[in-house]
Amino acid sequence: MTRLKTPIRRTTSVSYSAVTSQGRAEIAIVESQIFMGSVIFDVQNSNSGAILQPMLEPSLDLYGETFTKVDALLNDLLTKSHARYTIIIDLKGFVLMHSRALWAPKPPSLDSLATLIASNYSANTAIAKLFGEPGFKEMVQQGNEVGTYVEEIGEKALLVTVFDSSAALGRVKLFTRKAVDHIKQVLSESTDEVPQVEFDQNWSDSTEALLDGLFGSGE
Amino acid sequence: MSTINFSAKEINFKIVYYGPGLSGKTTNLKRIYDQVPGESKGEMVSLATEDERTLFFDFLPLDLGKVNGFKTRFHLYTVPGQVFYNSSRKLILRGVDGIVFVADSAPNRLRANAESLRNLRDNLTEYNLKLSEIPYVIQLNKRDLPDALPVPMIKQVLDPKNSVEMFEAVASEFKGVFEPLRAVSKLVLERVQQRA
Repeated sequence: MTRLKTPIRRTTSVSYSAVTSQGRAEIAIVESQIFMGSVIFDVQNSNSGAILQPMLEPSLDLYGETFTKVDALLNDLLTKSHARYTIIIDLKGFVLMHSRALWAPKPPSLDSLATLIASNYSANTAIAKLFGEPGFKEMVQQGNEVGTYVEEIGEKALLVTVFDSSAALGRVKLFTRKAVDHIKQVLSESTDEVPQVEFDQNWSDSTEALLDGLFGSGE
Repeated sequence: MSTINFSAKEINFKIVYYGPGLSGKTTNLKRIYDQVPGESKGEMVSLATEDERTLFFDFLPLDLGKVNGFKTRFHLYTVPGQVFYNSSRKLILRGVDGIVFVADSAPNRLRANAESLRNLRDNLTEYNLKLSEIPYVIQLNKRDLPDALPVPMIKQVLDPKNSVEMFEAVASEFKGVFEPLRAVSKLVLERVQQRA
């Protein structure tokens, strides 16, 4: 197995090639919409030749030991800030991981929360750009009882801290910022192997059967 | 580009309903919400004006089920169709995996359909994407209008090369609502497999 790792630029249409023990394989990346970071392809060998396995797009490399460490940081943030929930979401509005204080009531739909916060973040960034700013420095909302505080984790994700009137905003901000610094450090030191996902014919057949089950066969 | 969440064992896809104002994008999502069983759907979120026009987006998460231990999920979005909400449309297209273009069959909306499609192409360009490279289907909505334009006429304007799957629909009556969603979902999943 050969691993290729290359940074992606925003506008590129690039190709790479690799020579494995079983022959030559070529990789073409046609659409690159990741702003910073990397994409990883594994080149595997099989009876039918080299198989290139794109790993889709992990928004953050949260798996293995890295996941465990970040999870511990989220719990630590809950304890120190007295917040209800901490959630890491990507900029498309998908929940990547979350943590809830033992005493906190059941949260609302995390999908809805993540989508609204990611959209709000995008809208705020667009507003900032109208004024020539790269973005606004703070994203905080406070109601009578509940508030949210959002910090960027690099350029790919957001850390959302949901707190109530039992937590001081200053404390929430302080520990959320510290948590982001620690998470960035954990991510930068990560050496975890990217887990494998099989997208074979079986996967294709199974997903199509699920589509038929949910939406009908279309026939 | 689809997102994989290894910790939650989820593969997530984003499908956007695009089209001119009042073509029926929100109606599609409402009917989908009505028809999909409870365990396969999440809450529907609508950011709309007081007169029920979409202001920012509608959102509906769907769970397809588990394959190879991974849950496959689709997040459905609509964009606001009104011309002056283009900034919002652009934001919603971020990370899109598949598109359902909802066209209006009314004779006086043919031009609006064409302009919306051009607007879609322009907005995708901002993300360095081309419509021809994204899983994409067209739904011809409001086929129950007495003066609905003939399908070939709309096709000539929206898809002269005959390269896109097209579905006739009356979304308000749940006719032709699942078919384009199923088709675009299939294209999205096929694309993942092709890339593998």
